[in-house]
Amino acid sequence: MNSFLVTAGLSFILQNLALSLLGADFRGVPQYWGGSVTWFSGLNISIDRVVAFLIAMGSVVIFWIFLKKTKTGNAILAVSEHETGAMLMGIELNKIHTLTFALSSMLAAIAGAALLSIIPAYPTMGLQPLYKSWFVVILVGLGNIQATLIGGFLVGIIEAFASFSLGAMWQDVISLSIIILVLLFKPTGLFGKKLKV
Amino acid sequence: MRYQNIEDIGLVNSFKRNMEKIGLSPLILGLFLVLGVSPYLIQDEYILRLMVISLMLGTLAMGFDLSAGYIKVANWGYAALMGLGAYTSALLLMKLGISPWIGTIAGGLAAGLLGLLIGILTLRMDGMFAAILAWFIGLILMALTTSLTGLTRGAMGLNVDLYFNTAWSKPYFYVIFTICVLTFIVLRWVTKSNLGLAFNALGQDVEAARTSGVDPMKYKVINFTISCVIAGLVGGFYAHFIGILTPDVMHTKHTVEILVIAYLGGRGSIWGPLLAAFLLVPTFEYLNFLLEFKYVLYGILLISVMIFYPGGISGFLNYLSDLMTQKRKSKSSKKDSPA
Repeated sequence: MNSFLVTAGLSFILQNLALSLLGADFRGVPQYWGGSVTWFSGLNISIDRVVAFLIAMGSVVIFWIFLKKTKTGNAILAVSEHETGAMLMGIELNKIHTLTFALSSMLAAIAGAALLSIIPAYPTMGLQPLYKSWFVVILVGLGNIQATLIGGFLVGIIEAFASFSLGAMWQDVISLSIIILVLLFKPTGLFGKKLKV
Repeated sequence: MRYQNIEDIGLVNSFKRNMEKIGLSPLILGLFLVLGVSPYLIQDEYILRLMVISLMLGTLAMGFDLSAGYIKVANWGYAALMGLGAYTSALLLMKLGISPWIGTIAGGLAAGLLGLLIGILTLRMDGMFAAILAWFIGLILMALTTSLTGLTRGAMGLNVDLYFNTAWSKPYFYVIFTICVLTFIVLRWVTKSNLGLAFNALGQDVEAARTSGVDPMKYKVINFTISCVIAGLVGGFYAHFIGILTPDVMHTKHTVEILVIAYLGGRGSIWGPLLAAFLLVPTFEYLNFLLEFKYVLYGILLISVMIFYPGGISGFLNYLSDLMTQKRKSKSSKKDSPA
């Protein structure tokens, strides 16, 4: 709880510092690499997007291998499964907590940088991704990396579909109703196993 | 139990005991009395208005403290719930012509209803879920009030009629003063009763509380709902005090303001946040020239309180009073002992 509040305070400081020092303008690069890839007939995808996709997939794969294959990664998994048990096996909880927190912040930063050509940087740009990542995590359940991939695609498709068929204003309302339905009928998420009380 | 050593004779003692039942100590009663007559002593309109705003934020922070300090759920949609109360009251007055006094109560009920829904959905799980869902609902409420221009005029804002025909702060002071004192008494009474015991137990250890026969779901939802009703009530007051209502009242930065006040005041004390509001609101009013840096300061304050002194003001004052009683005790024991 305290760490959550400290994070919130930190994001508040960063946002307002950015607002006062850099101003509220959009800052970004129009494109990293020009050009686009033609896929099938008539489906053009700009190289930036392809690269961003590859970066995302690459970091997920690296992260997954890190969690499954290395000792530190296994320690993180152990702590998430049972804190006391992990502590008894000689894992330092504090170190693992800090490391996990730092790693997740790093992943967020990678996403921000990789998407710079698509979403320019401005002080409150973090709100939408935050909102969406919570949506994904609630949808699929906590602590399940493979499922978050599926969840990410699901959320993307749902939101695109909602804003295409009902208008952009209702997009958030639709996501919220889905969150509420998930919380009502399957609070562990679609792929979650246990409920963390 | 704890009253047994007070001699229960005489008017003063029985009065004191009855006051303590509803959570008022002579000191707090005295402070409230001073606050109550202050509009007659302070002629400066600016200071009076600041006091109204302090009372408003103090009441909000007290309500916030009920769920943040007792069941450890930080309600991130608090400003949005307040905005919901404000819009409910304002729209009832403008579209249906219902008196703002009833509208204020209706605003409280609307916010309470939404809080009940959020609570039922999320309080089974970790406190984080309630915090996040309340936040999402707050963001969506803000988006909806901005885009439903037919009803709320969107970002242009509503011009709401005030409670009274005058814009002077004095009558409004007494309205918010009444709301504040009532909230204070109700919250103190609730937290001193068995309900408060259950809240405290749930905040410390849910599993242990469940084992002792406290239904976590039921008491957490009660707590959350009471806290939301207070937000709605103050929201109704806000609408008819400020007179202009824009979707900006629901912005998260206002939640952070309330949160900083509540946490600086100290969690789980109810009176701490009220005191903190009277310290912080004027201070930050004088720092208005800093613009965005003001919010940076808010963030730094929040972080430093969380890291260095989680007890807050009430924790500090409790520590001081404990120190005093200890000194007094050690003095009297020295006197009593023969050596």
